[in-house]
Amino acid sequence: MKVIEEDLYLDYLQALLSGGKARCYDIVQRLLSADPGIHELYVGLFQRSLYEVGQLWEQNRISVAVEHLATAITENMLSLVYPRIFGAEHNGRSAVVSCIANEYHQIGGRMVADIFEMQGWDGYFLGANTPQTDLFSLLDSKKPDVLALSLSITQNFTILYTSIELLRQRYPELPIMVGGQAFLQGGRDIGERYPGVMLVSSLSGLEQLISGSPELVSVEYFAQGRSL
Amino acid sequence: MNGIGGEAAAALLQYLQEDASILVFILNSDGIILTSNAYAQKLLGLDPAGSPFTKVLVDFNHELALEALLQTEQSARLLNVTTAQGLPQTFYFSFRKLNSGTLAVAESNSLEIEQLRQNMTLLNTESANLNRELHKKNAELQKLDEQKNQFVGIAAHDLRNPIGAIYSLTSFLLEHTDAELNSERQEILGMIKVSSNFMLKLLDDLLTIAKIELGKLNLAIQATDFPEFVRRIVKINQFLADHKKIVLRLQDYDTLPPVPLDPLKIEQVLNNLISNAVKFTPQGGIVDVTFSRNADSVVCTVSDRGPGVPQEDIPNLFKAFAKIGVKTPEGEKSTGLGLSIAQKIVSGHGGTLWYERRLGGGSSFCFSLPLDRGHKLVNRKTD
Repeated sequence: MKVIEEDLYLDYLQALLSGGKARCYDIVQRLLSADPGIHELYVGLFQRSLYEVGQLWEQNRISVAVEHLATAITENMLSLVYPRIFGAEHNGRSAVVSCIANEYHQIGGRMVADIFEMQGWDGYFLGANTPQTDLFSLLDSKKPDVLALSLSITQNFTILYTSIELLRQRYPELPIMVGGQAFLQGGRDIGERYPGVMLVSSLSGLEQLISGSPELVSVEYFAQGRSL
Repeated sequence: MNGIGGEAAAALLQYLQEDASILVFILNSDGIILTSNAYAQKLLGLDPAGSPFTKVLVDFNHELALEALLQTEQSARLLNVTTAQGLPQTFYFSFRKLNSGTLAVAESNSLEIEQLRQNMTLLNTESANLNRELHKKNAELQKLDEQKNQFVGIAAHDLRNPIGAIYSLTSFLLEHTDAELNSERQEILGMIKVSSNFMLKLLDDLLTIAKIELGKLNLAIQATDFPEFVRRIVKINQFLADHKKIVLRLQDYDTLPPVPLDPLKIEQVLNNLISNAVKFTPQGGIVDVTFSRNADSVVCTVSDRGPGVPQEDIPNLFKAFAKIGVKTPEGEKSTGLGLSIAQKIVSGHGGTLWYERRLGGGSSFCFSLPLDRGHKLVNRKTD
């Protein structure tokens, strides 16, 4: 797997911050033709640049409008990778990925759903601010092997806990993984609080979990209070 | 209540002049701009001093009456300003009368902009999710399509033997036991023979389509004497057209270089086009076959004097099992796959197959084949 050169990364970041969609498009297309590996694009370019954009916003160095524009451009860039992601041989397993109610930062969740696809799973993504009833409805129809919930804002922990309690009542055997930026600030004891729920705090951790031994994705394994 | 005065008033005035993101214009009694603040000049891309106030506004319906605008001290009057980029931007204007003119102040509704931004963000995320879903579904459909082709190929292959046996045995019975069968039973056997023959043709076409769509259109390209090649095919088809007393006319073109093609596959295309033309031509009619050379290709045309293809059917003409709203004069059957196969074969050669109305009535089916295949050599999964 090739690592993205630092100059190219900085070039991309600068274009992202200035709304240079065309430049971002060129860089991603160039990287795709050089085939750096999808993982490297996701982690080394999209995730890294968005984390940096988030930090700049938190430091009041860019406006929320710039942050949203950078997110919107990244959403478009992800689409460029889709022809490589979808169509892989499927292993018969499926995952539903969702943001909880009131959670509007969806791109991390979308990338998680894509990682599942890359590893041969069916990754269904429900998007931002998903009402509980919509989530139940998709879980009932898809009957996935695992549910992944994304959380970016720490204020939404209460909603996440309520959501997990409702999910547990309805699907006691469903393995649930959680992740997202909010867990950098807290909530890392979620596995002890809710047996069968595992914290997966990075895309690499997720790949590690589902690629080598997909059978590990079980409520029993998750109940051991592990986190990745 | 204490007002803003003294040092604070001076600081506020400076802020309004230099930094505030609101528009400030001072107009004389004729509506001419005397001065404006820095933000207004930045937004307009120029210093508007000396211009009529209406010049900085976008007057979509030519109904802005300046006098009325300035004399009514309306607050929050919605007006559009022409920005430096040439795009209108909406502001809420307030007008205050001065002793010798008017103060015009304008601001954006920040709540409205925030709401707009939120809505745009939501729309973008929804669109991104739909895009993802579309890619996912497309990949699933491609897989299903491949599975369907494999299934059709297997089914057609496995059905071919028993139906071939029905056809052969029925032919044998008709040829060898006619003395023992009354005419009604002979007629029944005849119907079985015709139907099984049609099914064999259908299965062959299905197998061909399945192969092509699975990317297995393997072309054995060779340089071919095209005039001689077409003459031979026309001659063979003339025997088949004789039963309808139809004449196949070939308009020759002798000076062609060898054309790179797969003779078996292009013969299949020509046979299909000629047999279709014969089917749609009434007894005693004429079918024309012509070919000519373009700059970099040879174009072959088969024309009949049948009823032509209805306009609404033309877009679907080359789709598998397309139903055409015209019947053959003698009720000849068709599998509905021939033109679709022909198009895929021609496309595999790097050429094109198309339909044209024949002048004077009827249809013309034309196909081109590149003379220099070079980069056009296509041996791939065709569309």
